[in-house]
Amino acid sequence: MNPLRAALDEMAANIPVYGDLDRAIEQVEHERRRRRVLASLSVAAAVLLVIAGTLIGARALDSSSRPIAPLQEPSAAPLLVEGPLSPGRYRYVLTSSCDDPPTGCPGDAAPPPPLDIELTVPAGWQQLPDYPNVITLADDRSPTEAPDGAALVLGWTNSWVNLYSEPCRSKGAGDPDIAVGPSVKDFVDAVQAHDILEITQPSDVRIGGHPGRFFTLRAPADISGCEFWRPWDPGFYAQGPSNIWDVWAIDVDGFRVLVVANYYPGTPARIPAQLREMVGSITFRS
Amino acid sequence: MDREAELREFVAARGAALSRAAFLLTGNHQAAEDLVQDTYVVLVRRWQKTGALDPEAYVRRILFSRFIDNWRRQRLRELPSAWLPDTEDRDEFDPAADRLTLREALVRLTPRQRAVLVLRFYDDLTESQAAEVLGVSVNTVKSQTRVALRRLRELAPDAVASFEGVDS
Repeated sequence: MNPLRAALDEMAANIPVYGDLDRAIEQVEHERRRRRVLASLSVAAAVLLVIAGTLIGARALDSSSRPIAPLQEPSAAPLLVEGPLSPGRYRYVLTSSCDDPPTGCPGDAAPPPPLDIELTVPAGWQQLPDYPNVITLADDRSPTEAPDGAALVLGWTNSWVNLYSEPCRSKGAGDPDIAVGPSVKDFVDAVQAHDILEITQPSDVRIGGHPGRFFTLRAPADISGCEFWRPWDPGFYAQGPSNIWDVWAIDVDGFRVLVVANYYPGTPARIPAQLREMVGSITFRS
Repeated sequence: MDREAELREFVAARGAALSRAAFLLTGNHQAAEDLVQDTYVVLVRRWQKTGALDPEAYVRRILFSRFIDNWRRQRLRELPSAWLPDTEDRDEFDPAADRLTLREALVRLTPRQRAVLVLRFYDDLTESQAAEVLGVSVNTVKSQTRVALRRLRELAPDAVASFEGVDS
Protein backbone atom coordinates (compact mmCIF):
# COMPACT_ATOMS: atom_id res chain seq x y z
CA MET A 1 0.00 0.00 0.00
CA ASN A 2 1.15 3.54 -0.74
CA PRO A 3 2.60 4.80 2.56
CA LEU A 4 0.78 8.11 2.31
CA ARG A 5 -2.44 6.18 1.85
CA ALA A 6 -1.61 4.17 4.94
CA ALA A 7 -1.01 7.37 6.92
CA LEU A 8 -4.31 8.85 5.71
CA ASP A 9 -6.09 5.59 6.56
CA GLU A 10 -4.72 5.76 10.05
CA MET A 11 -5.91 9.35 10.42
CA ALA A 12 -9.38 8.47 9.21
CA ALA A 13 -9.73 5.37 11.33
CA ASN A 14 -12.53 5.43 13.93
CA ILE A 15 -14.20 8.45 12.34
CA PRO A 16 -17.93 8.37 13.11
CA VAL A 17 -20.46 8.40 10.30
CA TYR A 18 -21.54 11.99 9.85
CA GLY A 19 -24.68 13.42 8.35
CA ASP A 20 -28.37 12.80 8.78
CA LEU A 21 -30.21 11.89 5.60
CA ASP A 22 -33.65 12.33 7.19
CA ARG A 23 -32.78 15.88 8.16
CA ALA A 24 -31.54 16.59 4.63
CA ILE A 25 -34.77 15.24 3.12
CA GLU A 26 -36.80 17.32 5.56
CA GLN A 27 -34.83 20.46 4.67
CA VAL A 28 -35.33 19.93 0.93
CA GLU A 29 -39.07 19.36 1.50
CA HIS A 30 -39.25 22.56 3.53
CA GLU A 31 -37.52 24.49 0.72
CA ARG A 32 -39.93 23.04 -1.79
CA ARG A 33 -42.96 24.06 0.26
CA ARG A 34 -41.56 27.58 0.61
CA ARG A 35 -40.98 27.83 -3.14
CA ARG A 36 -44.57 26.75 -3.77
CA VAL A 37 -45.86 29.50 -1.49
CA LEU A 38 -43.64 32.07 -3.19
CA ALA A 39 -44.76 30.83 -6.61
CA SER A 40 -48.42 31.18 -5.59
CA LEU A 41 -47.76 34.71 -4.38
CA SER A 42 -45.99 35.53 -7.64
CA VAL A 43 -48.92 34.24 -9.68
CA ALA A 44 -51.31 36.31 -7.60
CA ALA A 45 -49.12 39.38 -8.07
CA ALA A 46 -48.91 38.75 -11.81
CA VAL A 47 -52.70 38.46 -12.05
CA LEU A 48 -53.09 41.73 -10.18
CA LEU A 49 -50.58 43.40 -12.48
CA VAL A 50 -52.41 42.15 -15.56
CA ILE A 51 -55.72 43.42 -14.21
CA ALA A 52 -54.18 46.77 -13.32
CA GLY A 53 -52.49 46.99 -16.72
CA THR A 54 -55.74 46.23 -18.51
CA LEU A 55 -57.60 48.89 -16.56
CA ILE A 56 -54.93 51.50 -17.17
CA GLY A 57 -54.67 50.56 -20.84
CA ALA A 58 -58.41 50.81 -21.32
CA ARG A 59 -58.49 54.16 -19.60
CA ALA A 60 -55.64 55.61 -21.61
CA LEU A 61 -57.04 54.45 -24.95
CA ASP A 62 -53.61 55.00 -26.29
CA SER A 63 -53.03 53.07 -29.49
CA SER A 64 -49.47 54.20 -29.94
CA SER A 65 -46.95 51.39 -29.89
CA ARG A 66 -45.14 50.97 -26.61
CA PRO A 67 -41.42 50.35 -26.47
CA ILE A 68 -40.70 46.73 -25.83
CA ALA A 69 -37.80 45.90 -23.56
CA PRO A 70 -35.07 44.27 -25.63
CA LEU A 71 -34.53 40.59 -25.02
CA GLN A 72 -31.18 39.91 -23.45
CA GLU A 73 -28.82 38.10 -25.75
CA PRO A 74 -26.80 35.36 -24.11
CA SER A 75 -23.42 36.71 -23.11
CA ALA A 76 -20.43 35.80 -25.25
CA ALA A 77 -17.97 37.06 -22.65
CA PRO A 78 -15.86 34.29 -21.10
CA LEU A 79 -15.91 33.70 -17.37
CA LEU A 80 -13.09 35.23 -15.37
CA VAL A 81 -10.41 32.63 -14.80
CA GLU A 82 -7.76 32.82 -12.15
CA GLY A 83 -4.38 34.20 -13.10
CA PRO A 84 -3.30 36.88 -15.58
CA LEU A 85 -6.06 38.10 -17.91
CA SER A 86 -5.71 39.07 -21.55
CA PRO A 87 -7.32 42.46 -22.16
CA GLY A 88 -10.96 42.01 -23.02
CA ARG A 89 -14.45 41.55 -21.77
CA TYR A 90 -15.15 39.03 -19.00
CA ARG A 91 -18.05 37.74 -16.99
CA TYR A 92 -18.34 36.95 -13.31
CA VAL A 93 -21.40 35.23 -11.87
CA LEU A 94 -22.42 36.70 -8.55
CA THR A 95 -24.26 34.14 -6.48
CA SER A 96 -25.61 34.68 -3.02
CA SER A 97 -26.78 32.24 -0.45
CA CYS A 98 -28.81 32.63 2.68
CA ASP A 99 -26.50 30.50 4.78
CA ASP A 100 -23.59 32.90 4.89
CA PRO A 101 -23.06 33.84 8.51
CA PRO A 102 -23.04 36.13 10.38
CA THR A 103 -25.93 37.99 8.83
CA GLY A 104 -27.85 35.46 6.74
CA CYS A 105 -30.97 36.55 4.89
CA PRO A 106 -33.56 38.74 6.56
CA GLY A 107 -36.49 36.64 7.75
CA ASP A 108 -37.48 34.01 5.26
CA ALA A 109 -36.19 35.96 2.26
CA ALA A 110 -34.94 33.93 -0.66
CA PRO A 111 -31.43 34.69 -1.91
CA PRO A 112 -31.15 36.92 -4.98
CA PRO A 113 -30.95 35.04 -8.27
CA PRO A 114 -27.49 34.60 -9.86
CA LEU A 115 -26.36 37.78 -11.58
CA ASP A 116 -23.84 38.05 -14.39
CA ILE A 117 -21.48 40.99 -14.02
CA GLU A 118 -19.61 41.76 -17.23
CA LEU A 119 -16.73 44.16 -17.50
CA THR A 120 -13.78 45.09 -19.69
CA VAL A 121 -10.37 44.36 -18.19
CA PRO A 122 -7.33 46.26 -19.52
CA ALA A 123 -3.83 44.78 -19.85
CA GLY A 124 -1.83 44.08 -16.73
CA TRP A 125 -4.53 42.66 -14.45
CA GLN A 126 -5.31 39.22 -13.05
CA GLN A 127 -8.05 37.42 -11.25
CA LEU A 128 -6.55 36.88 -7.84
CA PRO A 129 -6.10 33.10 -7.45
CA ASP A 130 -8.66 31.63 -5.06
CA TYR A 131 -10.65 34.90 -5.00
CA PRO A 132 -13.02 34.65 -7.94
CA ASN A 133 -14.47 38.15 -7.61
CA VAL A 134 -11.21 40.02 -7.05
CA ILE A 135 -9.15 41.57 -9.87
CA THR A 136 -5.68 42.82 -8.96
CA LEU A 137 -2.51 43.96 -10.66
CA ALA A 138 -0.87 40.97 -12.33
CA ASP A 139 2.73 41.83 -11.59
CA ASP A 140 2.40 42.49 -7.88
CA ARG A 141 3.29 39.79 -5.37
CA SER A 142 1.20 41.38 -2.61
CA PRO A 143 -1.37 43.04 -4.81
CA THR A 144 -3.85 44.32 -2.26
CA GLU A 145 -1.43 45.67 0.30
CA ALA A 146 -0.06 49.11 1.23
CA PRO A 147 1.57 51.26 0.07
CA ASP A 148 0.55 50.89 -3.56
CA GLY A 149 -1.73 47.88 -4.00
CA ALA A 150 -5.01 47.99 -5.88
CA ALA A 151 -7.96 45.66 -6.39
CA LEU A 152 -11.39 45.67 -7.89
CA VAL A 153 -13.86 43.67 -5.84
CA LEU A 154 -16.89 42.70 -7.85
CA GLY A 155 -20.32 42.19 -6.43
CA TRP A 156 -19.84 42.06 -2.75
CA THR A 157 -22.72 42.56 -0.41
CA ASN A 158 -26.37 42.04 -1.07
CA SER A 159 -29.52 42.77 0.81
CA TRP A 160 -28.31 41.80 4.22
CA VAL A 161 -25.17 43.77 4.97
CA ASN A 162 -24.95 45.18 8.49
CA LEU A 163 -22.47 47.69 9.92
CA TYR A 164 -20.14 47.45 12.88
CA SER A 165 -20.45 50.39 15.27
CA GLU A 166 -16.74 49.87 16.00
CA PRO A 167 -14.85 49.00 12.80
CA CYS A 168 -11.58 48.49 14.70
CA ARG A 169 -12.04 44.87 15.55
CA SER A 170 -10.52 41.71 16.83
CA LYS A 171 -11.42 38.19 15.82
CA GLY A 172 -14.47 36.79 17.56
CA ALA A 173 -15.58 40.26 18.69
CA GLY A 174 -19.17 39.69 17.65
CA ASP A 175 -21.51 40.22 14.76
CA PRO A 176 -22.23 43.55 13.07
CA ASP A 177 -24.57 45.43 15.37
CA ILE A 178 -26.11 48.15 13.17
CA ALA A 179 -28.96 46.71 11.15
CA VAL A 180 -29.29 48.08 7.62
CA GLY A 181 -32.35 47.86 5.37
CA PRO A 182 -32.25 46.25 1.95
CA SER A 183 -32.08 49.26 -0.38
CA VAL A 184 -29.12 51.21 -1.73
CA LYS A 185 -30.41 54.25 0.14
CA ASP A 186 -30.60 52.28 3.40
CA PHE A 187 -26.98 51.27 3.07
CA VAL A 188 -25.57 54.62 1.99
CA ASP A 189 -27.58 56.50 4.63
CA ALA A 190 -26.35 54.12 7.32
CA VAL A 191 -22.72 54.54 6.29
CA GLN A 192 -23.14 58.30 6.13
CA ALA A 193 -24.76 58.40 9.57
CA HIS A 194 -22.06 56.23 11.11
CA ASP A 195 -20.18 57.98 13.92
CA ILE A 196 -16.74 56.74 12.91
CA LEU A 197 -16.74 56.08 9.17
CA GLU A 198 -15.61 59.05 7.10
CA ILE A 199 -16.89 59.15 3.57
CA THR A 200 -17.22 61.67 0.77
CA GLN A 201 -20.62 63.15 -0.03
CA PRO A 202 -22.51 60.36 -1.84
CA SER A 203 -23.49 61.12 -5.41
CA ASP A 204 -25.88 59.57 -7.91
CA VAL A 205 -24.39 57.30 -10.56
CA ARG A 206 -25.56 54.87 -13.20
CA ILE A 207 -23.66 51.66 -13.80
CA GLY A 208 -24.74 49.45 -16.68
CA GLY A 209 -27.94 51.47 -16.90
CA HIS A 210 -28.82 50.83 -13.26
CA PRO A 211 -29.08 53.61 -10.67
CA GLY A 212 -26.76 53.74 -7.72
CA ARG A 213 -24.83 55.87 -5.30
CA PHE A 214 -21.10 56.44 -5.13
CA PHE A 215 -18.86 57.44 -2.25
CA THR A 216 -15.26 57.08 -1.15
CA LEU A 217 -14.32 55.74 2.25
CA ARG A 218 -10.84 55.91 3.71
CA ALA A 219 -9.51 53.69 6.48
CA PRO A 220 -7.65 55.51 9.28
CA ALA A 221 -3.95 56.18 8.79
CA ASP A 222 -3.19 54.24 11.95
CA ILE A 223 -4.97 50.97 12.42
CA SER A 224 -2.13 49.32 14.28
CA GLY A 225 -4.35 48.97 17.34
CA CYS A 226 -6.89 46.90 15.42
CA GLU A 227 -6.55 43.26 14.62
CA PHE A 228 -8.43 44.30 11.53
CA TRP A 229 -10.46 47.30 10.47
CA ARG A 230 -13.76 46.22 9.02
CA PRO A 231 -16.77 48.50 8.56
CA TRP A 232 -19.47 46.01 7.54
CA ASP A 233 -20.28 42.39 7.01
CA PRO A 234 -20.45 40.56 4.70
CA GLY A 235 -17.42 42.45 3.42
CA PHE A 236 -13.70 42.57 3.79
CA TYR A 237 -11.26 44.42 5.95
CA ALA A 238 -8.96 47.31 5.13
CA GLN A 239 -5.89 45.92 3.47
CA GLY A 240 -3.61 48.53 5.03
CA PRO A 241 -3.55 51.97 6.68
CA SER A 242 -5.22 54.74 4.68
CA ASN A 243 -6.73 52.13 2.39
CA ILE A 244 -9.14 53.95 0.05
CA TRP A 245 -12.38 52.31 -1.04
CA ASP A 246 -14.36 53.75 -3.93
CA VAL A 247 -17.77 52.23 -3.34
CA TRP A 248 -20.55 51.91 -5.89
CA ALA A 249 -23.83 50.72 -4.37
CA ILE A 250 -26.02 49.79 -7.31
CA ASP A 251 -29.66 48.86 -7.48
CA VAL A 252 -29.88 46.00 -9.97
CA ASP A 253 -33.54 45.18 -10.41
CA GLY A 254 -34.23 45.60 -6.72
CA PHE A 255 -31.09 43.91 -5.46
CA ARG A 256 -28.28 45.92 -3.97
CA VAL A 257 -24.88 45.12 -5.43
CA LEU A 258 -21.67 46.62 -4.10
CA VAL A 259 -18.58 47.08 -6.24
CA VAL A 260 -15.45 48.36 -4.54
CA ALA A 261 -12.23 49.74 -6.02
CA ASN A 262 -9.52 49.40 -3.44
CA TYR A 263 -6.24 51.37 -3.51
CA TYR A 264 -3.95 53.67 -1.50
CA PRO A 265 -2.77 57.27 -1.59
CA GLY A 266 0.54 55.85 -2.85
CA THR A 267 -0.99 53.90 -5.73
CA PRO A 268 0.05 55.46 -9.08
CA ALA A 269 -2.83 57.60 -10.38
CA ARG A 270 -3.25 55.60 -13.58
CA ILE A 271 -4.24 52.53 -11.51
CA PRO A 272 -7.35 53.98 -9.80
CA ALA A 273 -8.22 55.45 -13.22
CA GLN A 274 -8.14 51.95 -14.70
CA LEU A 275 -10.23 50.63 -11.81
CA ARG A 276 -12.84 53.33 -12.50
CA GLU A 277 -12.80 52.52 -16.21
CA MET A 278 -13.45 48.87 -15.39
CA VAL A 279 -16.38 49.85 -13.20
CA GLY A 280 -17.69 52.15 -15.96
CA SER A 281 -17.67 49.20 -18.36
CA ILE A 282 -19.84 47.00 -16.12
CA THR A 283 -23.12 45.62 -17.37
CA PHE A 284 -25.45 43.25 -15.56
CA ARG A 285 -27.49 40.30 -16.76
CA SER A 286 -29.83 38.40 -14.50
CA MET B 1 -37.17 -0.18 -5.30
CA ASP B 2 -38.46 3.40 -5.01
CA ARG B 3 -36.10 6.30 -5.38
CA GLU B 4 -35.96 7.23 -1.71
CA ALA B 5 -35.10 3.65 -0.82
CA GLU B 6 -32.29 3.73 -3.41
CA LEU B 7 -31.01 6.95 -1.92
CA ARG B 8 -31.06 5.47 1.58
CA GLU B 9 -29.26 2.40 0.38
CA PHE B 10 -26.58 4.50 -1.29
CA VAL B 11 -26.06 6.64 1.81
CA ALA B 12 -25.96 3.58 4.05
CA ALA B 13 -23.29 2.05 1.84
CA ARG B 14 -21.18 5.14 1.24
CA GLY B 15 -21.82 7.33 4.28
CA ALA B 16 -18.81 6.07 6.21
CA ALA B 17 -16.41 6.62 3.31
CA LEU B 18 -17.81 10.10 2.74
CA SER B 19 -17.38 10.88 6.41
CA ARG B 20 -13.75 9.77 6.36
CA ALA B 21 -13.02 11.88 3.28
CA ALA B 22 -14.78 14.87 4.89
CA PHE B 23 -12.67 14.51 8.01
CA LEU B 24 -9.45 14.30 6.00
CA LEU B 25 -10.47 17.43 4.11
CA THR B 26 -11.58 19.55 7.04
CA GLY B 27 -9.44 18.19 9.84
CA ASN B 28 -12.14 18.50 12.46
CA HIS B 29 -15.33 16.70 13.39
CA GLN B 30 -17.72 19.64 13.39
CA ALA B 31 -16.66 20.92 9.98
CA ALA B 32 -16.76 17.38 8.58
CA GLU B 33 -20.26 16.86 9.97
CA ASP B 34 -21.41 20.13 8.36
CA LEU B 35 -19.79 19.25 5.07
CA VAL B 36 -21.41 15.82 4.87
CA GLN B 37 -24.80 17.22 5.86
CA ASP B 38 -24.47 19.97 3.26
CA THR B 39 -23.56 17.34 0.67
CA TYR B 40 -26.62 15.26 1.54
CA VAL B 41 -28.90 18.26 1.06
CA VAL B 42 -27.51 18.88 -2.43
CA LEU B 43 -27.68 15.16 -3.20
CA VAL B 44 -31.33 14.91 -2.12
CA ARG B 45 -32.27 17.91 -4.29
CA ARG B 46 -30.57 16.36 -7.27
CA TRP B 47 -31.84 12.86 -6.57
CA GLN B 48 -35.43 14.07 -6.54
CA LYS B 49 -35.00 15.84 -9.86
CA THR B 50 -33.31 13.28 -12.02
CA GLY B 51 -33.34 9.58 -12.59
CA ALA B 52 -30.00 9.35 -14.36
CA LEU B 53 -27.23 9.92 -11.88
CA ASP B 54 -23.94 8.24 -11.12
CA PRO B 55 -24.23 8.78 -7.38
CA GLU B 56 -20.67 7.82 -6.56
CA ALA B 57 -19.10 10.35 -8.90
CA TYR B 58 -21.74 12.97 -8.21
CA VAL B 59 -21.53 12.85 -4.44
CA ARG B 60 -17.75 13.02 -4.53
CA ARG B 61 -17.93 16.07 -6.77
CA ILE B 62 -20.40 17.75 -4.40
CA LEU B 63 -18.33 16.98 -1.32
CA PHE B 64 -15.09 18.33 -2.73
CA SER B 65 -16.55 21.34 -4.50
CA ARG B 66 -18.62 22.34 -1.44
CA PHE B 67 -15.50 22.06 0.67
CA ILE B 68 -13.52 24.38 -1.60
CA ASP B 69 -16.47 26.74 -2.16
CA ASN B 70 -17.12 27.06 1.56
CA TRP B 71 -13.52 27.92 2.15
CA ARG B 72 -13.58 30.47 -0.66
CA ARG B 73 -16.72 32.08 0.65
CA GLN B 74 -15.20 32.36 4.08
CA ARG B 75 -11.92 33.75 2.80
CA LEU B 76 -13.54 36.15 0.36
CA ARG B 77 -14.79 38.02 3.35
CA GLU B 78 -11.22 38.55 4.44
CA LEU B 79 -8.90 39.49 1.63
CA PRO B 80 -5.37 38.32 2.25
CA SER B 81 -3.06 40.79 3.82
CA ALA B 82 0.35 39.69 4.99
CA TRP B 83 0.99 42.66 7.23
CA LEU B 84 -2.05 42.09 9.40
CA PRO B 85 -1.47 40.25 12.67
CA ASP B 86 -3.04 36.89 12.19
CA THR B 87 -3.02 35.25 15.56
CA GLU B 88 -5.45 32.44 14.91
CA ASP B 89 -4.62 31.38 11.40
CA ARG B 90 -0.90 31.99 11.48
CA ASP B 91 0.71 30.06 8.69
CA GLU B 92 4.33 30.58 9.51
CA PHE B 93 6.02 27.53 10.84
CA ASP B 94 9.31 27.19 12.53
CA PRO B 95 10.41 23.60 12.03
CA ALA B 96 13.06 23.90 14.68
CA ALA B 97 10.58 24.95 17.31
CA ASP B 98 7.85 22.50 16.59
CA ARG B 99 7.10 19.22 14.91
CA LEU B 100 3.68 18.77 13.44
CA THR B 101 1.76 15.56 13.09
CA LEU B 102 0.57 14.65 9.65
CA ARG B 103 -2.94 15.77 10.58
CA GLU B 104 -1.74 19.16 11.75
CA ALA B 105 0.34 19.52 8.63
CA LEU B 106 -2.58 18.59 6.39
CA VAL B 107 -4.82 21.29 7.78
CA ARG B 108 -2.14 23.85 6.99
CA LEU B 109 -2.29 23.06 3.31
CA THR B 110 -4.63 25.05 1.13
CA PRO B 111 -8.01 23.36 0.69
CA ARG B 112 -7.26 22.59 -2.92
CA GLN B 113 -3.94 20.98 -2.05
CA ARG B 114 -5.62 18.90 0.63
CA ALA B 115 -8.38 17.91 -1.77
CA VAL B 116 -5.85 16.82 -4.37
CA LEU B 117 -3.98 14.65 -1.87
CA VAL B 118 -7.16 13.00 -0.59
CA LEU B 119 -8.42 12.31 -4.09
CA ARG B 120 -5.10 10.99 -5.35
CA PHE B 121 -3.80 9.08 -2.35
CA TYR B 122 -6.90 8.20 -0.34
CA ASP B 123 -9.58 7.75 -2.98
CA ASP B 124 -6.95 6.40 -5.41
CA LEU B 125 -8.19 8.45 -8.34
CA THR B 126 -6.03 9.10 -11.38
CA GLU B 127 -4.86 12.63 -12.10
CA SER B 128 -7.50 13.07 -14.77
CA GLN B 129 -10.27 11.73 -12.50
CA ALA B 130 -9.16 14.07 -9.72
CA ALA B 131 -9.09 16.95 -12.22
CA GLU B 132 -12.65 16.17 -13.22
CA VAL B 133 -13.89 16.10 -9.63
CA LEU B 134 -12.27 19.44 -8.86
CA GLY B 135 -13.07 21.07 -12.19
CA VAL B 136 -9.43 21.94 -12.86
CA SER B 137 -6.85 20.87 -15.42
CA VAL B 138 -4.68 17.78 -15.09
CA ASN B 139 -1.67 20.09 -14.94
CA THR B 140 -3.18 21.87 -11.96
CA VAL B 141 -3.64 18.54 -10.19
CA LYS B 142 -0.01 17.65 -10.92
CA SER B 143 1.38 20.95 -9.72
CA GLN B 144 -0.85 21.09 -6.63
CA THR B 145 0.19 17.54 -5.70
CA ARG B 146 3.84 18.44 -6.05
CA VAL B 147 3.47 21.58 -3.96
CA ALA B 148 1.35 19.80 -1.34
CA LEU B 149 3.87 16.99 -0.88
CA ARG B 150 6.73 19.46 -0.66
CA ARG B 151 4.81 21.47 1.92
CA LEU B 152 4.07 18.34 3.96
CA ARG B 153 7.76 17.50 3.97
CA GLU B 154 8.55 20.97 5.31
CA LEU B 155 5.82 20.92 7.92
CA ALA B 156 6.02 17.39 9.21
CA PRO B 157 9.39 15.92 8.28
CA ASP B 158 9.10 13.14 10.87
CA ALA B 159 5.67 12.02 9.73
CA VAL B 160 6.60 12.34 6.08
CA ALA B 161 9.79 10.35 6.45
CA SER B 162 7.70 7.22 6.36
CA PHE B 163 6.39 7.95 2.90
CA GLU B 164 9.41 9.51 1.26
CA GLY B 165 9.44 8.58 -2.38
CA VAL B 166 5.75 9.20 -2.93
CA ASP B 167 5.42 11.64 -5.77
CA SER B 168 2.82 12.98 -8.10
